[in-house]
Amino acid sequence: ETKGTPHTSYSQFLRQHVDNPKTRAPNDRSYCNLMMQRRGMARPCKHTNTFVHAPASQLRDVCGRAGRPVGRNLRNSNNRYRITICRLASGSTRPPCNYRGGSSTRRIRVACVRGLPVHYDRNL
Amino acid sequence: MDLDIQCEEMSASRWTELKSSMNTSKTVRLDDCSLSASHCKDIGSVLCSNQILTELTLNNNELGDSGVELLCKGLLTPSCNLQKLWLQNCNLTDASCKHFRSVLSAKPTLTELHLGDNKLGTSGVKVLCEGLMDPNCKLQKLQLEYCELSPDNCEMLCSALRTKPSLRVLNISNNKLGDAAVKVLCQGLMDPNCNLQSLHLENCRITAASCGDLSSVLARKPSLTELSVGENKIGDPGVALLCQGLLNPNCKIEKLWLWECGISPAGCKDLSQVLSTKESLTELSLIGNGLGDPGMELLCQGLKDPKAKLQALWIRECGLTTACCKSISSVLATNQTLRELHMGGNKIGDAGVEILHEGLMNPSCNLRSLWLGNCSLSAACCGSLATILSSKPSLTELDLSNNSLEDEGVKKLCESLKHPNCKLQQLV
Repeated sequence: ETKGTPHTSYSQFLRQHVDNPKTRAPNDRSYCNLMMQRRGMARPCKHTNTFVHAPASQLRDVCGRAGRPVGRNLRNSNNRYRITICRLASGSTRPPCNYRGGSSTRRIRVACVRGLPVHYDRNL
Repeated sequence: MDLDIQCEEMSASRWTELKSSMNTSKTVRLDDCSLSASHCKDIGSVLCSNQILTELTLNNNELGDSGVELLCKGLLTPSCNLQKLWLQNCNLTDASCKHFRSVLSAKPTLTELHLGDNKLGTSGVKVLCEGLMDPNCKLQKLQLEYCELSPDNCEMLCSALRTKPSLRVLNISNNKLGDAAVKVLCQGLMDPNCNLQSLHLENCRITAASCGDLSSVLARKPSLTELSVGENKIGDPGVALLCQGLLNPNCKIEKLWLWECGISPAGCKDLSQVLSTKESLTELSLIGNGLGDPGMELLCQGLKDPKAKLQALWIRECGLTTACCKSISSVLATNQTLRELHMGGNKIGDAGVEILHEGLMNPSCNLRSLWLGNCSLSAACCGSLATILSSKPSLTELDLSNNSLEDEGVKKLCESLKHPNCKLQQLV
């Protein structure tokens, strides 16, 4: 991940990983196809991306009392969140991107800089 | 003049602005713009009056069947010369199909129809095919991915293949078809009248059982240059059967997609033979198969043959490690036609990059695009990558996403970006 100032990285984090309430779509596959495009991750097709359906304030808290440090600037969330994981279906890497989607409720791991989440590391 | 808008919500004033642009545009694309049936009335008028409009794309808008009815009214005007129509994911059902039937029966100018991601269903597609069969219909490309087709629909598609020499591209991926239906389809594909160039049957519940029929088509039809059977569990037996057809001198295959087909090292032997004999083959996807290092080494043997003219090789997530990088490196050093190598998602590590470096630096190597995302790389390999970037002006695309390159590694890469020889256009 490129490191901008914490502020620009935080807005990128919101753009790439936060969708609350979850945008309506016929199914998770359509959800992913729409959202990856809308949030600018479809040129080229980003292989995998997770959207968290929780308020940004809750995710900021993961960088504080709602999370625990796990080395470097990474933190695991104490709570579980509703997420949708989008993975590129293996046919295409050039647009139009075709994704597979799956919903889940998981704890998450993010990187925090000056109290703000700036990077989505993984689902736990 | 082109109108191309994506992911934008239309206010009333914005829409009024656009209406006048649409009237003078040759192509109109309004993808995911929150359009609905009410906008279709206006678009219908544009279709009536704009005689130079050849392409209309309205994917990802909830137009519904009532919207389509309005659009088709416009399409049916004699002065409308539309050639290409895209209505993917527009919340259409079987009710739309009678309107499409009318258009297909009346408009020989319509050459492309893309209706993926609409629940047209068995009965809807039957009605659609009636239009397809009309002598007036000169459709070239038909795309019905995720349209809830059933095996029954393949009878009529078979007839269409027999009677429509204009049909070049058929994409029915992601429909529950099964082997029996694909066999019926193959009967149509074998017809002397059939000139199909591109066939997409991804995730259609095909097994090795229909690969014999597909193989016969490949052996008989030089017109079939693109075949995708990705995401079907055909396994090594299926691949072996397909390769029989592929090896036939009549077969002029150019693009072959066998991603997630359950291929193991055993299947690579037959594929290797195809690589070393089919000079027409320019693109091969084997993404998501457990090829492993032994499988990759077999493929590399084929790729080193002077007859191998492959331009794009996609081997993402194939269970490769550092061990096969030497073979890949020697391919890079000898094969001058390879332009694109996608090998992300394989744990090749920094050691793997060091080995590939040798082949990449060879003057014979003309690689344009290299994807090494998620390959367990670290800052340690960035030195080698940097020298490649400074020495290979042919390399225009490099993907290193999801590797722990760190600031240190990224800095080294950025330095080489300043080098005059570096013509990189995209660094991920």
